[in-house]
Amino acid sequence: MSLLKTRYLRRKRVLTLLVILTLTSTLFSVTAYSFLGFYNGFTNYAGEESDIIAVYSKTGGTPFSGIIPLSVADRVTAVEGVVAVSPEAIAPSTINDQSVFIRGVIPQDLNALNQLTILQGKSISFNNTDSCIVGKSLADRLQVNVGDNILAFSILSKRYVELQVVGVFQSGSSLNDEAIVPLYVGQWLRGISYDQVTLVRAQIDTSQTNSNLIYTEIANKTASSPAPSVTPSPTQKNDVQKQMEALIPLAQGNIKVGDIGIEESQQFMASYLDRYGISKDTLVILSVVVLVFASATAISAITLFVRQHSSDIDIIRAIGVSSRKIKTDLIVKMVIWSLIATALGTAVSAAVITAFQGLGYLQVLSHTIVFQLDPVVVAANFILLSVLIGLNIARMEFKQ
Amino acid sequence: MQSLAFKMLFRKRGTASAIVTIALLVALVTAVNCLVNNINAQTNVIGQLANQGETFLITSKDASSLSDSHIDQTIINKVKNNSAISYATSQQITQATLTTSRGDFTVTLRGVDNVRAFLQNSKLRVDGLVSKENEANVGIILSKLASLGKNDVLNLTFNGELTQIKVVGITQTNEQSDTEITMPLSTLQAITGNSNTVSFVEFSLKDPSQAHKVLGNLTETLPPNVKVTGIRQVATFAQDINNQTVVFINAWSLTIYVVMVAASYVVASRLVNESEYEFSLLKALGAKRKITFTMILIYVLLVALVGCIVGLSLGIVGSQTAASLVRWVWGNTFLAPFLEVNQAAQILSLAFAASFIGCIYPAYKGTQRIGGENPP
Repeated sequence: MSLLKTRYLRRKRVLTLLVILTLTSTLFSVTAYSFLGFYNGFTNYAGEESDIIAVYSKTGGTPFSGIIPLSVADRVTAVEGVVAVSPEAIAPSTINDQSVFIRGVIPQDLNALNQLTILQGKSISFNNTDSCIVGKSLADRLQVNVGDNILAFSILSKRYVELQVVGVFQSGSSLNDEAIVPLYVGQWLRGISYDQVTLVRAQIDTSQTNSNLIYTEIANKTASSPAPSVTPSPTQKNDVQKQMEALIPLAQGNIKVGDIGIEESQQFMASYLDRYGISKDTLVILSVVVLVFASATAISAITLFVRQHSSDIDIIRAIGVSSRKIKTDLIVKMVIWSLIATALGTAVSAAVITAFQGLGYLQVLSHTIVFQLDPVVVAANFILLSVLIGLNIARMEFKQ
Repeated sequence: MQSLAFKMLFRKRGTASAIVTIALLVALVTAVNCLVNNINAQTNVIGQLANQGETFLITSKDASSLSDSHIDQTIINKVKNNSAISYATSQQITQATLTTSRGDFTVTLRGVDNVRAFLQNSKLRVDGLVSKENEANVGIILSKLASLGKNDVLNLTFNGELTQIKVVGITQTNEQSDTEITMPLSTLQAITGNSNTVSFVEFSLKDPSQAHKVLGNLTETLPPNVKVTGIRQVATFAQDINNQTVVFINAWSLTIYVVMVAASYVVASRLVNESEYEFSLLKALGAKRKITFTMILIYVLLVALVGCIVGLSLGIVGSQTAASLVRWVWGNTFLAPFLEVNQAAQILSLAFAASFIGCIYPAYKGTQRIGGENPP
């Protein structure tokens, strides 16, 4: 394969085609990265690292509606290879007529799993009864500052709480869009008793244990003591848990092993989306469908580009260059342009998503969609544009 | 002459592909809007079906929290006089310093005009008695935090003044009062010195299904500087989630309209490129540049109009056909995409505007190239 040495393509027209290919690529990238941003945000909700596992209720229709006994946290803590455990009560609520997810936690335990950087004010402790810290994105959305009082209404129970914002934090996770409160405040808002939570997250040493082993250990221990007492518990506890038990009135909590599930946190969240047929693959396919719909524009632009150069191509044909060689030359050049268009499209989509995100336009389920470069999307973008170019040029017929 | 020229232009092979180009983009926006409408409608239905709650708060209109709300104390009488209301209490909340052997704590004091009714409404568990005048109940979490028990005496400091109150019971409601000190309203008013206003009134309805009517009647009797807020805001939550989806889709649609500008640019450029002969003929017959420019513009806008109509139809029919297939295969009876008239008009006008913007430059350049010698 040798390329034509003659410079028969006009620079201005090349630039125009490049712009149109970039726009097509941008549309695909914006769609794919928005969808995947939502997917990644959702699946990373409980933690994005592979050593974070989630213990949840199999009966809950959403990650927020399941309920499990708090005593599960003790059971998990006792398993060898478990590094940190965070029992959590997540409550969908409203503040100032806006939807908000409030997460009840034991602050020290949460910090072991998710490092929160306090930007303003201070963090909360388990003893801060009427206080909360809010993520930076949520603070911006609600326009609240340290010292402000907020009134939160629960969605899943008939309860409300007034909280003082004592700190604003930044986190590398979806916690940025949430308010963090002591566990018992989350339990009030979720409408559950003090010996129940919606989720237990744990960090594990993957060389020592995994979700299946933990499940088996819990099942074995539960079988040997069917009605474990939460206080006092036979399992080991850290200082924070002891402090919690000294503060919260805990009752007997039965663990129904059949009702709980233990999975790697990302798989746990992905399984909820799977129920509605949403997976990473289906979202990429949807983005490809969007590109197919927009491909007519790119096809027209390529056709126009070739027609604009028809007189130059006719001359090259007249001096004996084969149609096949011209087509190869055009395809190779356009594939290089499609590579440039892919890079530009990705950059533009990153800028667009970041700008929209900054303006608060990109939110799904009250959580901000974040741009995350994905090699699959970049590759798919380039391949699809190249295929589009190849097919279009191949079907063209040049004058004899 | 112009009608003849239009006939020539529209009979060109590229017209069909130009219409398809615009139509596909419009179909994409339409289909997505149809699906989002369906999801939003379902969320709204779920929001309306969910129990809107029978408990409400009356606070000052400008207050964003309970502690900065101050309403007339007599409002409670208007609420209690309403026969549709089953429970109502007026409450005042304030912060004070509690001094104990464990140290000083900033605590919330909640004064309630009927402590028993308030605690019973919260499904109270009490160790001891319900407080009467100059007595207090301490929430279970606060009691453990500050090591307080029945018959202890609370040392409360408010505005520098020390007050001592006896604890007659430790309460558990699984609500915020578990971390507070609850006492009769008159006792708190004696501490704060404010007996004219309360922070809010909490009330419940006998029949929650009549909420709309009862609240309408009640609001008429209330002063204009107060607001009534439902405690369980399912509909508000659902509405906000819906708004986020709509804003997201609108932001995403902007990208489609930008591509539509490019599509229109290509359509106009292609017309100029492929119709040089026809335009030259027109010029030879005496047509001026302005006429050529107008013709290109009208051609693209007509193509855009047809493309929009075809795209709208394709989007609606396509999404509904896809929904029918999904229903047929998976049996999801809730999937019923639809497009509202105002949305159709919005898509049509935005697509039309994008097409207009896209075709101006190639139309102008084409006119320059073809009709260079004639004055505009």
